[in-house]
Amino acid sequence: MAIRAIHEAGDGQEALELLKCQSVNLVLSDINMPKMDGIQFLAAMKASPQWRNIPVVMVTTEGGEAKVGEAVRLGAAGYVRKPFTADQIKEKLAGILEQVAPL
Amino acid sequence: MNLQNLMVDLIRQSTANVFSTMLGVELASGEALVESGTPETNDGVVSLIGLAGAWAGTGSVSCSPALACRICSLMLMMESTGVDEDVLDAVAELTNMIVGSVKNDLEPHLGPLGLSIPTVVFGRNFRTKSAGTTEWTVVRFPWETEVLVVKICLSPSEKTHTTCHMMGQTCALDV
Repeated sequence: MAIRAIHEAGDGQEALELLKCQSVNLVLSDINMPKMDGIQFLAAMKASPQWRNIPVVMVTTEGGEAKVGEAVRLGAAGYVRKPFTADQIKEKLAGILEQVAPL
Repeated sequence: MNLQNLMVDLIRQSTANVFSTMLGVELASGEALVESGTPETNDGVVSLIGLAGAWAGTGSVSCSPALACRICSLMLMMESTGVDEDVLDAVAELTNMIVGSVKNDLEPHLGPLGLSIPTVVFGRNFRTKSAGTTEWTVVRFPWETEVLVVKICLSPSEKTHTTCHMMGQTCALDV
């Protein structure tokens, strides 16, 4: 898996602003975030014709079915439960990136 | 099972798992105690995260500035020598994972719980207090020459507890 660049945002609102000026192949988002949480951010992405096809992987401590189920229902490509190893996240991202256009 | 014993077990499991997975550190089993009365003064970094639902309270992780830098260095794989924004973020994330995992494992016993965004304080000679709660379940983990302290206080939300007893139900756990 070759990654050209990683762009960071501190919350959902900042991430939406970032998406306006950066072209990305995949988004990795926490659920528990200030200002706009990961579920609201995912909903905003999926409501946008411009961003709805970008795969979003949720990273969360929330093990409950409610939050994870909501993320999947909204169109998350997958989720990784914290804590995770570097290998676990690499494997998850590689699997999802294989299904989308190559970087 | 007594709620305090359950929380001690979950804090030990969760902290060991987070340290092993995220930092590659095998922690020794921590010493458990119950803290009540006036809280001790803190010197260093304290991260606090709120829990809310039928039960409500606070989880906290505290350590020295040196230990906070070590956590950040291991988590972000970069050298940290002073407490800066990255160090505070790393301790906040560690707290989120430890207390979040305890929360997930408490939910089958206590019902759904929400988790707030962590708040991190760095300073000297300060006390933290959770309004309305007097007892903390505390686990002190020795690490290298220092100690990392994980604490949780949790009590039934007033409305839920009253309703539960008015309906003749018993609490799920011996409090």
